[in-house]
Amino acid sequence: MNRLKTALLLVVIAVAAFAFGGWWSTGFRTSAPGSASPADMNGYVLDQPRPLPEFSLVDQDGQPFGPQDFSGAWSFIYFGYTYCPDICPASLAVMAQVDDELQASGVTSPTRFYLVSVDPRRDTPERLEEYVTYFDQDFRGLTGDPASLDAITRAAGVVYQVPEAPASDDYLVGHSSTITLLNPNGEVHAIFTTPLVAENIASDFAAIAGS
Amino acid sequence: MPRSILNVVMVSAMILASRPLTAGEPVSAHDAWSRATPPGAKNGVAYLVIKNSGAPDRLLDVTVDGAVAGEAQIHTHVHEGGMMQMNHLETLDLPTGETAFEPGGLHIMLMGLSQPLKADQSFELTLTLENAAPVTVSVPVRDMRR
Repeated sequence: MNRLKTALLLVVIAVAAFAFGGWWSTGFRTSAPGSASPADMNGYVLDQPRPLPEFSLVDQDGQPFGPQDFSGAWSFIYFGYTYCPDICPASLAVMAQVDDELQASGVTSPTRFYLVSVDPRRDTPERLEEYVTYFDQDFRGLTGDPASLDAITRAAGVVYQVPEAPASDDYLVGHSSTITLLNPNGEVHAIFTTPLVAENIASDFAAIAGS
Repeated sequence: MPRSILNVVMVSAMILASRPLTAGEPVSAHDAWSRATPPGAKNGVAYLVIKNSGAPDRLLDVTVDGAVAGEAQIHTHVHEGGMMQMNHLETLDLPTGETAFEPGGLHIMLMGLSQPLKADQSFELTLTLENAAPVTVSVPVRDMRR
């Protein structure tokens, strides 16, 4: 009998702990910054969308591209460089898969996908065009001078590091491996962090854009 | 046959049977693949799993067919300060067991591709080790876009 009581007490404690844990994590989640984020999102939705500062980038056709050019559609932006053999092609492939997922699931919000190269020394518009359209005909490439890249990356929550005066053309570039989501007003709306998984990003986006 | 000689023969047979056929070659590689590259790409990548069934060894060098790329380097990713930074490793310790090269982690960077890597082609990488004999592995190229 004593043993049964002990067992029952343990069960009660376990249930209470479980319930408290659930309450605590929910309470934490709803009071934390990024509370508009879909549950279990890898990343976060900003509480207040952040407007982009002024900058002047150039697109894959050599045309000037400013902050207002992001208006009119949701923009998925990956910041990287084309000499990057591993995570950049993997991340662009993920963006192409997100595009497929959204089409397959009937999400109608207009979307655009961009690679912003933080390595303008090597990534010319021509090179970007060749690179991004390999992943999808409609993908766009942008780059620009360091001042403009600093402006957009800072707003987009991205850091990068390019050697100032590389000894050869073989240098490596450090960069965040995240996807920044701009809303159709061209404001920073959400950040997707690693691991970047296409079906998760697509379902999180559907929740974000649908709300 | 005298019993002592029989014992020696049997024990020798057991020792031989317990060793893999590639006795003396404790390091092997499997599951190698490479990512097809966009047109004009200067760098490529290869992944593989190195299996070391012997004592700890060290990967000293990776070489690639000069017709494919200028150079192959061992790289790893370090996640620091919010950035993924690739680091070039001169050598890599191979403890007993498996060492996996995979996306987002350890990888073989192919510098200076002569032409884009296309799906269904393959090329060879040769691993030079401190102790074990060199290992050559065939690397098939895969299109990973969708």
